[in-house]
Amino acid sequence: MENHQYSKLKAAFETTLPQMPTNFTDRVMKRIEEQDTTPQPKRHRLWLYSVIGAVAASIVLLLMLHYHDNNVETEKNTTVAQQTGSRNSTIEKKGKTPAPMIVQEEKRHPDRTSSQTPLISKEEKRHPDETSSQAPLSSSHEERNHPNEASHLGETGGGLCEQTDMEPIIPPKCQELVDIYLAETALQVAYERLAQIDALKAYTLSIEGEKEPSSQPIIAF
Amino acid sequence: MKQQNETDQQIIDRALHGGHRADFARLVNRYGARLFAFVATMVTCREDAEDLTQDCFVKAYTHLAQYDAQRSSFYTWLRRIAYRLCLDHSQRSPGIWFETDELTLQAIPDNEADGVMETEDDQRIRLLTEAIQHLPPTERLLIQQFYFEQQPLAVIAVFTDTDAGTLATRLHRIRKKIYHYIKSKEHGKSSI
Repeated sequence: MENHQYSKLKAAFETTLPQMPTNFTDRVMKRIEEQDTTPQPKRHRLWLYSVIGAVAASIVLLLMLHYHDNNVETEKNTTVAQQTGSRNSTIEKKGKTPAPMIVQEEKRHPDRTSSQTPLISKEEKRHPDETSSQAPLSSSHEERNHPNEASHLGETGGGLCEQTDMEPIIPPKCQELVDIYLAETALQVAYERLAQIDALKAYTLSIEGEKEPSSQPIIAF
Repeated sequence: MKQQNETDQQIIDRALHGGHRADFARLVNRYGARLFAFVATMVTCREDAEDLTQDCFVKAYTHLAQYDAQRSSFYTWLRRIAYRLCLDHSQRSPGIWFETDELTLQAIPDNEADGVMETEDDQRIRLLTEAIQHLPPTERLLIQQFYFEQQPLAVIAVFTDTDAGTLATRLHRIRKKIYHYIKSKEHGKSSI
């Protein structure tokens, strides 16, 4: 009963459908021949191997990149640490160098340094012996006495004067940042030294009971 | 006579290993009309239906080696290819179909909607045919396969990539839509 109902409905519905062409099989086969289509072999295994290979290659690539990044990062840190540490040690060794650029200038013109450096006060210029013994700012004496010291320190990794030695290590993009960082560090150390010297002078004067010269600044920029 | 009794798998094996296209032509002969009706249910334009049916057979011939007789019958595999082609075609050229809002569907009693297909009245059959024609392609195909081709929901679920439970729910909603269409026509209202 149910099938009969549906067959009647089916017949009614099929009248609404378009009629199939009589030579449909010939058309399909003609199209297959025209396209020169042939059955393709199974490729799911090939796909499987390709996917596995691609995943493995990606993992290897990621690992390589990861290690490469780590190495670059370590090199950067080492370079910065070396430069910072050696810069500090250079300043400590010299004890009187306020800024790295001055050291560079002194290195280039060792004879002119003592007369031209603006960091040394008039008083110190008038009494070079006293200055060299008392004022730690006048590094030119040491530079003059040991002209090769800067280069020697440079070889051991000190200051901006030996940045040319470090250039192969530091990437070019980071060079400016490193320069700024080192200059700032050097200035900070220099100001700390100056403050210590001032305090020492004041302490010395207070012990000796003498008045500190007020009109002449110690440092003239 | 012997060739008539050959199974699909035997013909496929010969088409694959023998490389004779004539063997595949026998499969086209065997399933061409049914597959054309299948496609024409979803795509009403005759030329488009014929092109899509041809595309389906060409695709089936190209990927004949991928057919797995243990997973489904050859006709189900053909329907799966045809269904996807028809869905792509429907998305490219969407039509205007009969839709009913959710509140209206909920208001229709289940027992009345479930018996909507069981009728012998010619007038009712005419209205039913009209209602099926106005359904979206996928819903039209579900009605055609379930009621007219007598295909179980489990088989329909294979080539539509759906589960049978979802199809049963969808079928229930479609019956309500048809019921609503017929009622609105009988009361002289058109919701299209």
